[in-house]
Amino acid sequence: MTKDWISYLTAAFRLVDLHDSARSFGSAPTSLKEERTGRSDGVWLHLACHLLSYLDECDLETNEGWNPIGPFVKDMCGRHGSLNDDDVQLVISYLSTPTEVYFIKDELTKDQLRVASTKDTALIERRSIRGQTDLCRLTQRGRLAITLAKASHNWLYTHHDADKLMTALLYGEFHDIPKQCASLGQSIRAFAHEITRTMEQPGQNEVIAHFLDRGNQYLDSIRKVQTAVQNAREQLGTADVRERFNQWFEQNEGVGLDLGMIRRTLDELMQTVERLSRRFSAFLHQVTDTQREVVGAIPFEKAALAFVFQPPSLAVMDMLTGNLGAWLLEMCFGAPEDMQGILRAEIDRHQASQPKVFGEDAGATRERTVMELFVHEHRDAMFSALKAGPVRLGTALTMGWAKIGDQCHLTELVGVYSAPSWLGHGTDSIQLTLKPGSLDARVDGRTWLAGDDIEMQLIQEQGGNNEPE
Amino acid sequence: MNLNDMGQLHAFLMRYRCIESRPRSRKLRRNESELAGILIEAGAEGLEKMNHFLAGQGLDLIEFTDTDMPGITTGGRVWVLARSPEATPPAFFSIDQVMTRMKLRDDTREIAAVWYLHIWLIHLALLYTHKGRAVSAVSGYLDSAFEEETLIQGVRDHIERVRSIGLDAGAEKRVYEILTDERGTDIAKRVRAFLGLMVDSGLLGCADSGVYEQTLLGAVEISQSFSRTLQHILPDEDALSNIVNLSAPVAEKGEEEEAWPEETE
Repeated sequence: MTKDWISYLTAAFRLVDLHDSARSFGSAPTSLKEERTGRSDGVWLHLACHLLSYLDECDLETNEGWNPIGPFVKDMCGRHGSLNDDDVQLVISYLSTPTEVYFIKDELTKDQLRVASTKDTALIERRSIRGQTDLCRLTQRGRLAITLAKASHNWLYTHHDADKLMTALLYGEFHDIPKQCASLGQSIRAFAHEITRTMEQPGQNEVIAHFLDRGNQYLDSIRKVQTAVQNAREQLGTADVRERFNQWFEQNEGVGLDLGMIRRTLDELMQTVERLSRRFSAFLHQVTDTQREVVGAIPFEKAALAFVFQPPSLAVMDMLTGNLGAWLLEMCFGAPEDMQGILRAEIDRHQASQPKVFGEDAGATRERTVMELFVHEHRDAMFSALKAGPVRLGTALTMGWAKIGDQCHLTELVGVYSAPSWLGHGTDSIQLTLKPGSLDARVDGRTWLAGDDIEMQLIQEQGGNNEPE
Repeated sequence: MNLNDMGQLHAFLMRYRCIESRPRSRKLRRNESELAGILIEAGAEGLEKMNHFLAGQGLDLIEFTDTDMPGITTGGRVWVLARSPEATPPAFFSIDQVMTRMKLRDDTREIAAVWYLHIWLIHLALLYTHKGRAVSAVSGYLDSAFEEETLIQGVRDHIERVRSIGLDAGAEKRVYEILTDERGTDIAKRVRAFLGLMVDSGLLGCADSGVYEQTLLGAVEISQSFSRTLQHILPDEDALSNIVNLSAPVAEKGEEEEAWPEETE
């Protein structure tokens, strides 16, 4: 019992401390005093936990009725010789006195924060009859605390949460389902990770013994969760639920939730439970197997030092690196997609994609290549511009020569600037000159051309200004 | 899963050693999502088929789900390509390449190997010993981040200890000379070369600039292969205590909870 309370309490302590912090906004940060006031023998907590368990047990019979506290006080004083009646009474008054907790309430509509508080913090109620017999019982808060403390430790009750899925479906609370699935999934994963960590650590015999003792109960609980999710999945398929969903959907437009999504969420949850089931079975199998091999902490620094005295041979060092150290490949494993996009596809985009027929005269039906098409498109415009004066590649780009329609033909344009013979006008009459570093032009979208510019010039008379390249 | 799928998976794994359906701290690699899809669709049978193929190369493809291991994105899966503890690593793994990258100036292969071993052990001390983490604790990969500077300092401290013990106490001359003959920024350079190798092998990941962390693959390989390799080479407890007595700084670290050498249950 105390163990449950400790997991419950340790999860709340820091929040309580923060609540009690009197720091004002903007004051200089100070290091926190991690000193708890009070005795450090845990005796008051011990008494309180026992008192709550006692009242919980009484409640099973009295059904929210009042219970005499006398037997408990007597029992405690008898067990702990140093305690007297007043000490136990102090614990009772602590638990029954309410304290005020302040918090901030979100006012969603007004988009502002409001301070609120509650005094609903007493865990037990106390009533004196004629000042003689003390009667006590758990408050609603106290009952909740016990439920939470139990839940903090025991995964065995998770299937009750899984049953809530079915309830949500039956009541048509569809918006709750993804949240519930997520929270169930989280709790399943946390349990599975607990198993993982237990298996990885040496020792842990206590935890393992617990799992072994109650292995069947855990398996049973996992099966129940599985069944609950399965039932919810089947229920989702019934005409009844579908109709209810459609009604709900009409009232809650824009929620962004459809039946398919709910089904997928349930499917994913189902897979998670199945994985947990496999994992837990494997775990039970493994811990009962004597071959369980777990390596604890190793002092690697000492080992490194020891290797200065007893160095392993080169062959052994190589073996270690080969088995445990870095591994690089002697050769390259290329995947087809590595090559994608390295080379620009120079397939003629304008060629008809009709398959060639064997025996057909290739010459007669040959389509023009891209280059031929390009020259055909721009040749006249280029010549008329060249007649007016030299044209640089950078200028040619601005004149739209790198395009035919929407298609980019930069390659062809540069091709003409490198081999003007494509223009078919007696090569000797065209002269190219390199203009270092003067090219800086945007071609298309994010493509830029920069570097040396090429200037093309028509030589009609001898003795042009530029040196031929 | 057809042969084409297997070829693609193989090529990808050889390069990256790992496939994640929803990576936690990096972007998806090219083709990674498709390959994860192939593995998910192929199910247990497909994984077994792929593993038959890989077993011939001394490799295992191990699947982890979000339920198995903390740190895997919810709903995600991770497959790591680990060297099989039972098999010899494949011939196409090159130790020479590793050693070449560890060399500084005109180092011999022996010098590179000694440095690799010592930096590797100090790095294991950072990942395991200092954190009180068991070698079997694969899930500890999540809390394994360390700074490059810390490893450099760790190696420097180690070399200082070696120097302080000296040859007279029985250190092996050749190793002593290799480790104490470092100049200027040699240690930092060697550590960086080491980290680069580990990242390229998929055993460490670069979390942030100058911050490294162990990958799931790194943790899996150590946990699987330690007891079959390094365990047998480590000096026995007596020898170790004698050596440690010579060197105060290590003893000061206080590693009370260490289990040495192994606990088998």
